[in-house]
Amino acid sequence: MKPIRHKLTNVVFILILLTGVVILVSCESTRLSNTGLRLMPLSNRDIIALNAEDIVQIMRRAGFSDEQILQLGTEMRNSLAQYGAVQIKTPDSNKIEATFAVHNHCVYISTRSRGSFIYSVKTGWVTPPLP
Amino acid sequence: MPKNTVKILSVGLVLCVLLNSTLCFGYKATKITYTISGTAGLDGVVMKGLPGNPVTDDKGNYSVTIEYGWSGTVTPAKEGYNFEPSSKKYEPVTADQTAQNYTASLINYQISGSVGTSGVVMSGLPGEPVTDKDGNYNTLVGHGWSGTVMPIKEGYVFKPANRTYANITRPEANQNYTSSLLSFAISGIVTIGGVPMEGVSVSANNSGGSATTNEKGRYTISINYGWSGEVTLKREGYTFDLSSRKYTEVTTSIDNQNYTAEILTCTVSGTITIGDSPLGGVVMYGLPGDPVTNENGYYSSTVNYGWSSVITPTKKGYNFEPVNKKYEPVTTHQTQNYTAKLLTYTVSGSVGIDGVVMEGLPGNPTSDANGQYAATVGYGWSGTVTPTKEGYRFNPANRIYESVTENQVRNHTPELMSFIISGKIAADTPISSVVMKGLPGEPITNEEGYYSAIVDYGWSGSVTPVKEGCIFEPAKKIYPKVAEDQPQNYQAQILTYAIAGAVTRGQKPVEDVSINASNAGGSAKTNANGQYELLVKHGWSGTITPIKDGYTFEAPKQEYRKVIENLSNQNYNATLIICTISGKIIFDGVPTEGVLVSADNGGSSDTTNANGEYHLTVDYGWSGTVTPTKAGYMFSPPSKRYINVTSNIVEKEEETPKLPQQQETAEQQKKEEVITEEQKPLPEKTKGSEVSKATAEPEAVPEVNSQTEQVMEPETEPITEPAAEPKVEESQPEQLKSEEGAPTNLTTETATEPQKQQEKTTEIPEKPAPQQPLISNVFVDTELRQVLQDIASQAGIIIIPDQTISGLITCELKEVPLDKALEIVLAGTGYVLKKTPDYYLVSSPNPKDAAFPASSRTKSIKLNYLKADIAVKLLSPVFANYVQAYPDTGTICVTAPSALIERIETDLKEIDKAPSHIMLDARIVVMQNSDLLDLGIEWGWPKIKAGIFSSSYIHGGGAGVGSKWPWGIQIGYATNQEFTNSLELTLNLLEQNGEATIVSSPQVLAQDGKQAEIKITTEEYYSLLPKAMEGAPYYYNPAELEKIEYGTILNITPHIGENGDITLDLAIEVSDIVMRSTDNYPVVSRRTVKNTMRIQDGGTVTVAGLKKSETYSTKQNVPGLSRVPGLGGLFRNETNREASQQVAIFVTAHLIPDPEVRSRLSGLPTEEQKPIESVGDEFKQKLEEQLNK
Repeated sequence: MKPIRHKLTNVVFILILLTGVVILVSCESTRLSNTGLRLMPLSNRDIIALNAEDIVQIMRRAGFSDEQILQLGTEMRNSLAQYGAVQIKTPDSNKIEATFAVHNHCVYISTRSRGSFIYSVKTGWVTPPLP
Repeated sequence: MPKNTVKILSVGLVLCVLLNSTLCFGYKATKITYTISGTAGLDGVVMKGLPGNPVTDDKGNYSVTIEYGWSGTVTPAKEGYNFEPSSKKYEPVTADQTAQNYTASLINYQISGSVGTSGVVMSGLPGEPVTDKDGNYNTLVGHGWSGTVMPIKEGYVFKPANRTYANITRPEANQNYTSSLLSFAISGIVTIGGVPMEGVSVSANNSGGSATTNEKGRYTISINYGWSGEVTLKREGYTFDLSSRKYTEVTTSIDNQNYTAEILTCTVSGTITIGDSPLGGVVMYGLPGDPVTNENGYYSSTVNYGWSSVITPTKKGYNFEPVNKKYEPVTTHQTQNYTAKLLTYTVSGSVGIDGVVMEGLPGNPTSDANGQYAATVGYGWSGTVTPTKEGYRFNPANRIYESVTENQVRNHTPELMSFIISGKIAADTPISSVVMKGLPGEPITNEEGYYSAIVDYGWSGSVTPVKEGCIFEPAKKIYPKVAEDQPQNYQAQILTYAIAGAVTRGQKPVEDVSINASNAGGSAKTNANGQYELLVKHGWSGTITPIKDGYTFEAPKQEYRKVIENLSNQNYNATLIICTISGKIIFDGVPTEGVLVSADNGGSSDTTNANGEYHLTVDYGWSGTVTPTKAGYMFSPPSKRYINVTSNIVEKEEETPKLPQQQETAEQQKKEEVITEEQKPLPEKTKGSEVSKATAEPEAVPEVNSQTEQVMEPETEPITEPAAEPKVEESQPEQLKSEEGAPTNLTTETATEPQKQQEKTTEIPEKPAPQQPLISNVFVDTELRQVLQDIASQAGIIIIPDQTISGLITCELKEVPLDKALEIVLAGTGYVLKKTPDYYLVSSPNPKDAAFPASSRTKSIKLNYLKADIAVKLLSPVFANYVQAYPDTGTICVTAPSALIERIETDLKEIDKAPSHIMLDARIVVMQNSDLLDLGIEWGWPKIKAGIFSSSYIHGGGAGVGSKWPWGIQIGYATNQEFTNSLELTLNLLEQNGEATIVSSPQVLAQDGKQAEIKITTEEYYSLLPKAMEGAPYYYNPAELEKIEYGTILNITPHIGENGDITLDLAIEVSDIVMRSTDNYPVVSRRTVKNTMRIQDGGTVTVAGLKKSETYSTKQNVPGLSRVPGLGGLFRNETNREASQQVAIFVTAHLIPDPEVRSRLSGLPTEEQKPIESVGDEFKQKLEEQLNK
């Protein structure tokens, strides 16, 4: 029986293509912002459309600076609207700083250093509001 | 030989020959001779000196011839003799010498010596001399004596045993003997614990011998003949069962003189003190068994005589003086005390600011100007150190020190304290959107009425709740200086306004009209004047609707928007509903015209038309009688009675009977037919509801008793004769039920209020009850048997009471159907009724009664969910004698009268309910506590409060993301689904960051009220060898396998409440191996928690604080380079880290809906979420605007 032979050029070509796809996907799904934070969308069952006030509230509560909110806010809104959940990571420490997830018209926020909160789009903070 | 010598000898020889030949030539002469003679007394005596040494003859004479002039000395000689004189000298003899006699005497020799003992007979010696007191002997024997000498004395032996002499020719001195007494043996064995004992000295006094036991424990001592004395055993460190044995005049050997030894012991004891206090728990290494001092600091140990060792007292954290004590072979009790001294260490660090009291440290030291603190603690000190200073909190808030064994340097970071001012504002319900003026940020209460604000330590201000339409108590709260969390609730009062008016029908007020306001506006009823008043809350919006049966209203409902004042004259006009009663009267199949049909009690009247039809109008709810009249006719029924007419009634065609017979009286012609509400078509709104029947009064009079009225059913023929043989269906328990709806008019002393209520209302029967004779009678303390007899007589049936029937009955029956009458009579007696086609049987339900088989039947009831035996236990004990359980098939067999079977069956249906299920979702989480602490993160376990807890929060600023201080993780805690969702998210974050590990997340489906168990454990087996029994053979040592289990065990028993809340009984055990002994046996640390918590569906119970410590050793190196001599150290790293882990267990409980609910839910359409479009830069502008606000 004659063995099947693959042309080396075909294999290299496929590998190059796969590498390109992986790079494109990673560039699309994770972006390193100017603030040094990386926002990663996560798939979730529920999605939600937050307005600017909601975004500012939840990101402030999670401890993000105004600059970071301005930088990441739009992407955060779009990610929650399309995927339903978001993780924000610090590349330096490779730690997840905060996770935002939508469930039943509420945004559940869990932060690495500030605690966990629940924000309802309809009624505001389920947990006590900030002063 | 030399030649010269030979020559000389040869010459000499020649000369001698020549000389001799010369001398042999001369003269011949004769000599003169003399005789010397005598006797020597003995023969054979040699007379030496005489010529020829003549010998005496056998007579002892001798004679010899001598020459003239002979001279000489003659000496007689014979061995063994001496002669007197011993010799004679002769001068030149010139004459004969006769009588030259000698006297011979035999020579004696002395034999002497010592035997060592007096009184010894020297047998064999002449005269058998006896030794003198010194043991010497001395005797003479003649020359040439021969014999054997043997010393003899009883009890003695001599050495040599004898001496033999032959022909003694000289004295024998020092013929000594060594005498010794005869010796015997005393022997035996010395043992200790059944084992031969070597080295025991055994000695006998009085010149007895001594010996030492050999390796077989045997000794043999020698004693002399006739010895008397004592044998004594001795070995250092041992005692013997007999210290000595006495003997008297031993003349033979004695064996089996055995002894048993016991080893001597000594006590080594003492006390260990620290200061003036005793110190317990000190291990005295070196003593047998390593004893430990007790609470009095005392130790004691028993050692064998001669034991030697070095004792070292040891206890962690202590030094001892002396350090140890050496014992040379111990021969007496020893007492040795020690003095202990506690080791100390320093706990120090920085708290950042001065004046911080370090509570918990010995002496509660205060930090200095540099924020440094230090304290000295003893070895093993444990405690919780909490830095305190007014207005500050510290991170960490405290540190727990467990068994300090080295100097500790621990820092705390100060943080200005902040406090929460929070509370709830509620009236009857929580008030939301109340602005808390005066608080930072002026927070607003949420939908649950809660508000919360964070203020710094020392904050002061005045807080005023504000909301339109509300007043609050207190109206204002002043905070002079906040130094702790301030819970402050406010009681709100919502302003209310009155909406009032009247309901009239024309000019007449309408009473009891329900005025209902929507949106929780309440309701009211009009009074006798038709007036009403409703109180609604400030800002109420909704509709008000008047409702009353039989009425319609001109304005069915009135709508109101945001009521902020009182409203009056909110009136309604009511209109009464008119119902019609219509029918048709026919005589012999022909409609009868001109019959006047009139309704009393306000109803109208009408005359039948040519078709025999009539139409009457009555008010809604009218009750009364409709009577047809026409001359020459009688009607059947003569009249009809209507009760509570609430809808139009169309009567069926009524056949006018023929002319009345002669015996019928005028009163009989007026018989009315009562039409009860149950027999009429019901209005829509009352269908299926219970209606009154108590007002029905039968007016028909049966012939059997002129005083008794009989109910006339509209569809049945009138009864003209009493039922002599009532037709009763065979054993139909339902018959009794159906008859409960029959009209009754009775009074009984035993009837209770519920029973009366039951008598008043009943369900609408689907078909008319069968005819039964009516019973009327009055019984006062009448025997039950008599009562039954009377009823039987009245009804014309047979009633058989069994033998047990007895009791007194008091009741009054008025036209009560037979079965109902029997039910009333038997009520409260406990007797049951069994109906057969031929007779009624009244009997006791007692299974032991003879009538029970006849009055009972058997029914098998299969259960769906409960076990049969458990269901039987849940039944009332009253039914215990009637039921039997078959757990294998889940069946209960009931043998009882029909009524009891029905009751038991009903009860079983109530009991046999499908159990609810709960899905228990457990998460066992391990968090590296040290990691969290290293990061400056305080792990706050779930608390009631939620959210951040910083005092210096600044929007967008502050520590920022990733900051390590002063933030801490806290999880909002509530027993509902929100907490669970939040928890899952947080655990996910911690796990991804490597700060927590979800060790296990088992799920188990549990039944309501039944325990579920979740085990995540490891089992190890160990072989336990018991200590070998003394004397037991070594080859028989039974071993046991012992199982040691460790890990996490959850025992959860869920209980579902009526409101759907879930109560969890939790029993949690977390165990792990903390160390292993030298035998590799594990030391298991177990932490157990038991609690009971109530949560909502989807809520989570948390158990935390199950801490465990582990030591990690990490070795890192660069392959190759790490082994380079010298430089290799740069490429190696080895760290030992001790980390304490926090184990937290989260148990989430979800109710599993019933199958019906599940199927219903699955049928519901799922909400589809529409895709949301992305936004662009314009959103960024909005963000900027929001940030600038």
